[in-house]
Amino acid sequence: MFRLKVADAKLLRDMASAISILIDEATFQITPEGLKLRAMDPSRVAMVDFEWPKTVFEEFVCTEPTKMCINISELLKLLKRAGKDEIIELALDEKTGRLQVKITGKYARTFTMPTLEASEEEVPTPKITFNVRAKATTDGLRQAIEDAELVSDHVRIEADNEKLVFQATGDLMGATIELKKGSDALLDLEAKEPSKATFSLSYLTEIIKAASATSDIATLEFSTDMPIKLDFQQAREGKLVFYLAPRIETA
Amino acid sequence: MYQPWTVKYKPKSLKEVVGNKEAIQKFVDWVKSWNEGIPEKRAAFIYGPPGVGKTVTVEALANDFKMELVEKNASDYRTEEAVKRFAGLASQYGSLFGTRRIILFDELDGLTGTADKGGVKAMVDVIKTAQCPIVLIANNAFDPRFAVLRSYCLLIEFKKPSVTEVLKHLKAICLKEGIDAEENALKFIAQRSEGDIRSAVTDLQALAQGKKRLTYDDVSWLGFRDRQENIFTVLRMILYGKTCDGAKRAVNMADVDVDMLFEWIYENVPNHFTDPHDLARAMDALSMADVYRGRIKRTQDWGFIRYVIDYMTAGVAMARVNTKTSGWTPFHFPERIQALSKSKEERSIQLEIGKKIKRKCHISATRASKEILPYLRIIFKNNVEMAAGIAKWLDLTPEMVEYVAESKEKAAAINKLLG
Repeated sequence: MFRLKVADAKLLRDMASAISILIDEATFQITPEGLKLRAMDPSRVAMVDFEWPKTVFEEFVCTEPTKMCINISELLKLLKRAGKDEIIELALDEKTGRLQVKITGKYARTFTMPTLEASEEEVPTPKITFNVRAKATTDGLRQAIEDAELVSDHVRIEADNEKLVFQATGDLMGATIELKKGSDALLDLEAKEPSKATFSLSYLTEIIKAASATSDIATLEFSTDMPIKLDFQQAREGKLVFYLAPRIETA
Repeated sequence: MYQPWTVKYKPKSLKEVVGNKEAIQKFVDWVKSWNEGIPEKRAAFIYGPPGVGKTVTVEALANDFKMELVEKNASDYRTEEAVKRFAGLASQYGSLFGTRRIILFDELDGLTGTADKGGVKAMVDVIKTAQCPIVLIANNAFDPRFAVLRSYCLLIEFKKPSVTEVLKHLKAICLKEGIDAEENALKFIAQRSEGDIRSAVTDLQALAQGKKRLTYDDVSWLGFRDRQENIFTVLRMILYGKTCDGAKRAVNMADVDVDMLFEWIYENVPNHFTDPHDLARAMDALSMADVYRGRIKRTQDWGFIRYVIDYMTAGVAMARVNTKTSGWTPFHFPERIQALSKSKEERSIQLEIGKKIKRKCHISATRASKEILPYLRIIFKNNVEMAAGIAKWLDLTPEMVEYVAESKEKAAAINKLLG
């Protein structure tokens, strides 16, 4: 049994929308410590690692660890009905196996939605040695990615100790976006060795767009032809990390 | 906890997969060839009857080779967009865990006709540029809608394993479950499954779970199951049926509906019934079946379907008296269906032109295309200016002009006048 209360509906909505980019059916783990989710998208190219400790919640009751799987886009529809300062309560009705979503603000309404069969898969965290670590504003990243998206559906990210470069080459056009170390967009940059890897723009754009609603600063970590880790620093406690696999480059 | 034995005793490694050793070796060689660069065929198409271990083989291989298996069922890739989203990324991008990946499209048979055309097309696009092995699985790889797909794939046929091989698998399960089973009881189950290991294991579980002993008497009451047979087997049962019962039973095994089966029988009877008297009797039976089909259509009283079935199966089978079976005669796809689908485009453009005439002449579109169109044809062939004037008045599209003029040059001249 559990009951969660979030004072700011927007917070929950933004988080759900970030998760919904990668997955349709989300299996959350609810433990006395907090709410967790780690899952891969259907093509197994991307992973989301999300965690909210119980301190994020106004009220957090969980008697025993529970797994709950829901259709995240359906939940998102309900959450979109909530105004900015409205309070959201999530509770599992154990008899019917349905999730109760209660929104209270100017008036109170209660929705119920079915829970699905929880996935048994335990997704491990990728073990990668990262050679580049860059700290950037999510806004700056978003601009860079949107520039690149104009010309191609994938982007090469390159970095040395001076700058972070986004390079996109399409069938007709090309784009190069340079973020210099110490500029407004790029707060910090460390590179053990110059590295480069190519990633899918469709996922990058959506991830950064959705995550920037929850976060102002992101940390990018990558190595040559290895997955990238995007850690979006949360205003309150909590964790929102995405991993994205690199494109296989044909010689 | 209840767990199906098909899951519990699913082979984890290729060594444990029952039968099809050669096909599996071919598949393994192809996957290994990826180590030396991208092979000529970037996809493998595994096909064969249900329950012979196609999916299990791919899963076991992924497990043996420590590859990441990305799999989807037909319902998940009906549309172009769905395929692109799932496989487009998976086939171009690496793994998060540094392992190699193998992509599996299972149950391709589940895709239906034209509605899912986009899905097959997108699959071809994905295969053309895939950076990792792609595996397709279907019961029938030779379905016309897979024609294009096939040319990009290495075809691997899985056959029904022999009774001995199925028997061996059943014995192994009994040993692990601690069931003392009589040899001929297991043999009966194995034979009855007709090479479908999955159904054999399911049967075994239903009959033996929780028991200490399994005897022949425990299983012998089971009949032989009706299986979905392909259309050729069904036709053979009807056209060469010795008993009414046998011919009628064929309908239950057919994977096409009764109307389609009727067309198949109608098409093939003349080639297989060489004796004129036999043929006349068969055609009589078919005409009776058709009378009842008409009644169903008019009254929507589907109770008549039993007469349709009796006449077209038993009636046809019993018509065969004098014809001797001689050699092998092939079965043909119903020409009527083929002709209808071929002329579909023509009929639709005729109707469109008819609709244009209907607006101007205040007659029905059907009548217009029947009575006016022939005159337009003559005009369009002989008088370009007049044709252009009419085309303008009727507001015909360039395609319609070309259709009426029946020649590219004439149509070009008319369209030029139209500007």
